[in-house]
Amino acid sequence: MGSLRDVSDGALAVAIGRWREDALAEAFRRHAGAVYGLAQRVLRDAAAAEEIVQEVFLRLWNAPDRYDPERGSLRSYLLAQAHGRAVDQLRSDTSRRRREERDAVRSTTVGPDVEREVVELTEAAHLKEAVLALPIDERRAIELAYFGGHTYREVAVMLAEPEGTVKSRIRSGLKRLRVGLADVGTAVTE
Amino acid sequence: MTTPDPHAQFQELLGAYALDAVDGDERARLEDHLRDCARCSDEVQQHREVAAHLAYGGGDAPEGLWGRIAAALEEPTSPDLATLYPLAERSHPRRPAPALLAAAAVVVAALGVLGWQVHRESGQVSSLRAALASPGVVRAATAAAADPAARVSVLASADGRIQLTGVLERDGSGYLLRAGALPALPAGETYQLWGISGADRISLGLLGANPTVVAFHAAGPGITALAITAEAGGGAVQPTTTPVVVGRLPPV
Repeated sequence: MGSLRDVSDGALAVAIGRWREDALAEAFRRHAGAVYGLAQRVLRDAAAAEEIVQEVFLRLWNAPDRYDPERGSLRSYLLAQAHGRAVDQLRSDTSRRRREERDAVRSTTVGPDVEREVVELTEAAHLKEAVLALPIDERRAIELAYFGGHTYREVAVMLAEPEGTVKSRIRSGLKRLRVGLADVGTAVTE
Repeated sequence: MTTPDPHAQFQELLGAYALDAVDGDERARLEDHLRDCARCSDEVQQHREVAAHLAYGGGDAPEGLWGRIAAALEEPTSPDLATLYPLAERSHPRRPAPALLAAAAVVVAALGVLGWQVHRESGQVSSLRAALASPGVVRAATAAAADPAARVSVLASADGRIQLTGVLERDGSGYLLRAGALPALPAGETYQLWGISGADRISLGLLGANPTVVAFHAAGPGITALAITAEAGGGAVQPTTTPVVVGRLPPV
């Protein structure tokens, strides 16, 4: 293998499976910023977010076969790992949780904040376009669940909506985004 | 009143699940369903890909974070001895059954490379001796270690203090590097290398009491881990002691 800069994520994962530290370093270069950004966004704690990044990349090193390139992108795998860990941490810390809920309720009452936060995190213009095309109630439910780390039941309480409505909105919003991203030419891995 | 379609109920949850927004029993039931339902687990994966786009931050990870991860990589990781090497299976060393000896003889016949010698001693032990360090072996081992197609395994002791490297080429040629990390054994004992393939421990050679660089041969992709035990001088048909070091091999 020559320069790792040019290889696919799948080939990178294979090289990591062969204990190639330079391959892990390249995966870190490509994806650690996004993993850190998400963990930081969910936990609102830089040190805790760094720990999550470490855990996620060490796990990739120690158990590379958990990632299946046939199933999806390396980035979505790493982000899903980081999100799950961040959310577990959030939910295991009840006092923190109460504070988060207060913050979340505050932000939902402000309204436009939610939109701004999502848009800040979606830098590329076409991504903004797809996100802005979402109905506000879908966008809000996704934001509270994904970036707020709330369960859909909690989101329902925050938005004073029936639980069934909230879970449907999250699903329909994600489907709409998928179509929107495809329309604006962003490849969404099958 | 009709029973609601469980599949449809689960489907409604897939978006929330992909965002880790389902918990408790509901999550456990959904995960049971996902194990059996390819369509639903595909949909979860699609939602996760979309979420990955949302998470795009454009920023970098904090300075110094990679350095800390790289440092952690160098810390020895304890191999999972219980998984690789269940204790129950070797708590009663017994005389090898004739069928086992026959099987060992087949393995032995299949090897026959790199200076392996095969002995049948007292009808008990098929003893293999791996090729020990010679300039040719060292050169071959160094070349193998640099081959990206080779499978590389770090064999480590449970406390991580002893570490050596195993390299297995596609053609079955294998090498142990830094075998000098193994403490010297008393006279009359030898290190023995094992390939672990499912429930089988296949002897890959006797290494002597004080090995340095070793060549061995292990055929087939079925070997998922390497282990080294200390055995009495003539070696053993099956390991009789807890391995000094073990290491997983990455899949082919």
